[in-house]
Parts: sequence; structure tokens; C-alpha cells
Amino acid sequence: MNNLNETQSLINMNSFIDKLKKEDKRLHKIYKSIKILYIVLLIIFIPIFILELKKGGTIQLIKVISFFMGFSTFVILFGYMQKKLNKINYAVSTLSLLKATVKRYKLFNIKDIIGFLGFILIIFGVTINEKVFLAYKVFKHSNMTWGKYFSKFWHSFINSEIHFWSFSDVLNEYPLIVASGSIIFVIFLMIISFVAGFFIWEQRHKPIRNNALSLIKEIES
Amino acid sequence: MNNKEKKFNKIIHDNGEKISRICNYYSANKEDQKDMYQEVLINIWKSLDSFRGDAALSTWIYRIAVNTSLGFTGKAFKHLKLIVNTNTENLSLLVNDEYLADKLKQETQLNLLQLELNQLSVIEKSLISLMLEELSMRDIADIIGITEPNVKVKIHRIKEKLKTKLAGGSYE
Repeated sequence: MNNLNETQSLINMNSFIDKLKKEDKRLHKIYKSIKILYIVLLIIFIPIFILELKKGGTIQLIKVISFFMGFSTFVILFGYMQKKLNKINYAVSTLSLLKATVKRYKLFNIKDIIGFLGFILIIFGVTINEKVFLAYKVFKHSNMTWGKYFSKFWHSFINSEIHFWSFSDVLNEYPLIVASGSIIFVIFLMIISFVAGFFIWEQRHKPIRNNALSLIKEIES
Repeated sequence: MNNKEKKFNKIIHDNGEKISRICNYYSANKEDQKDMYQEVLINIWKSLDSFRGDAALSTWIYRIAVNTSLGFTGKAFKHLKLIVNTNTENLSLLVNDEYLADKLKQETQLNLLQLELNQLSVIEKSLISLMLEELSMRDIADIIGITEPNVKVKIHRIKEKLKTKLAGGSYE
């Protein structure tokens, strides 16, 4: 009994509860800040959306819808993840908790795919315009192939500005170059993110997941 | 003092010893016990809003304590020590054999039992700790998330394993 009381007395309950309340407040503040950030971004983007829509045309509509959907996807996903992370329920049965852990630490989750789609929608909304479509039309009727195009693009990208402008001049498809550049940049970012994400998962999450899987196996055996 | 705080204080006041005991099963080190105790309290605080009273409060607390112990042990889960107090009268629950129960009174046997308990897997240790808390099979089943017959089978296997090892044999 003495042992038990010793453990309990090591914790000053009043200051402990204060810490818990502070943590609750801190989380509440984070949610609030994120909400404010979303509202500010929407205030910035709504006039841009309206201006785009006022120009008329299908491309403008696609641009606004893509950007808005991508942005909304991120807002909803981020909010959901924050809530989920801070609401890990320890009061469920051990087996349920372990199963939830396995699900949470999978390499690819549905939320990753949704986030990826949101990202693509935003990039699509930012880069798409009439000039890109027109340039694509010209490109289609030229004797240039995608392979040749990207190899030339890469060559001019790693060499110099002069090469870039001569390349641009030869093809005279500046909007297409910008769009292609964005796509290459996005692909590059995705590869880097995937590699970094994989290493983080391998080091931190995979052992937890494997541990949970072996415990589930033991419980269910 | 808000409602959540009042509820939390009452739970800790009524069940603090229970939580301490569970924490003490898992570590002999005072600092580790304190850390785990705090972690359990944090998880009780976090889960308090989701407590609907569907389960008995004690089962709810044990669930949090056992689940926290799994997370708390982390990478060192294999080295998790199950500490059995030498004064624990419930040890006889582990070995039905009267002869062995008598022998357990001897310190060497107790040490051996302690050693064997520490060889158990983390789930087996959780089951034993709940059993030492004199929880019913139904409650243990609720906490772990398996059926009552399954709990009985598992506990029976653990007892058999311990009996064989204490008798000097090897358990397959």
C-alpha cells in the first residue's frame, strides 16, 4: 500500500490538472489558428475566383472549380486528421486499439490518396489556362513528341538561361513550358516526399505496426 | 472547477490505487511507475468525454491502463517486467496446486515465479495482471476484446506453462 501511495504522491494533482487544461487550451488554440488561416486564405482567393469567373469561359470555370475543390480537400482532410490524432481513444478494447494502430500506420492510407488528389487539383487549377490549351494544340500539330520535348526541356533546364530562351523561341510555346515545368517540379516534389515519407515510415511507424500485428496475432491465436 | 475536472478528480480519487497497482506490475522503477501513472491519467483525461457509461467504470479504467501499458512499453515491450509484490495473496490464483502454493511461500520459489512471469509475452502479462486484480473472466474478455472462453483458455495455458516451469520441466 505504501508503494501505491508513494507513486500517487509523486504527482501533484493540482499542477497536473493545470497542465492537462493547458494542453487542451493549446490544442484549441491550434484549431482556432488553422481556422483563421483558412478564412484568410479564402478571403484572398474568393476575389481571384470571382475575377476568373467574370472572364467567362469553360477553362476559367474548370480552373476555379479545381482550385476550390483542391483547397477544400486539404481543409477537410487537415481538420479530420487533427481531430483524429487528438482523439485516440484508449478506452476501447486492447484488440480494437491494436487494429486501429495497424490501420493508422499503414504505408498508404486513403487519406494520403485523397491528399494527393487535392494537391493535383490545386496544381491543375493554378497552371491551367487558355494559352496552355492553345500551345498544346500547336504542339500536337508539330513533329515534336513528349519524349523529345521533355528531353529538350531538361537539357535547357540544367544548362543555362540562354538555352531556355532559345528552346522557348524554337518552340514558341512559353505557356506549355511553364506548365511542363510545373508538372516536372510536382513530380520531383512527389518523388522526394515519397522517399522521405517512406524512410520516416520505415524507421518510426513500421516497427509500431509490426509490433501491433504480432500482438493481434497472439491475442487471436 | 468545471464538470470534466470534477469527474476526473473523482475518478482518480476513487481509483488511484487501482491505477497505481497496474503501473507497479509493469515496472520496479519508481520513475517508470510515475511516468506510466501520469500517462494513464493523461489518457483518462483524453478519453473522459467519450465515456458513456456503457461499461463499468472499473473496466473502463483497466482498459485505459492496459492499453497505455502497451504503448508505454514501446520498443522495450519485450523486456517488460511484471512485478509481483511479495505480499500479494492472489499469487495462489496462478498455481492451483496446493503443494506448489505452499512452496511458493519460500522465497526461492517466489523468485522463480517472478522470473517465469517475466518470460511471459506482453499480452500474457496483461492477462495475469488483470487476473491478479481479481477481475472476472467476463471483464478481462471485455478489456482485451476477446471472448470469455478464449480468456479462460489463455489463462489456463499460462497457468499450465507456469506450473510446468516451476516443477522444473519445459513448456512447448
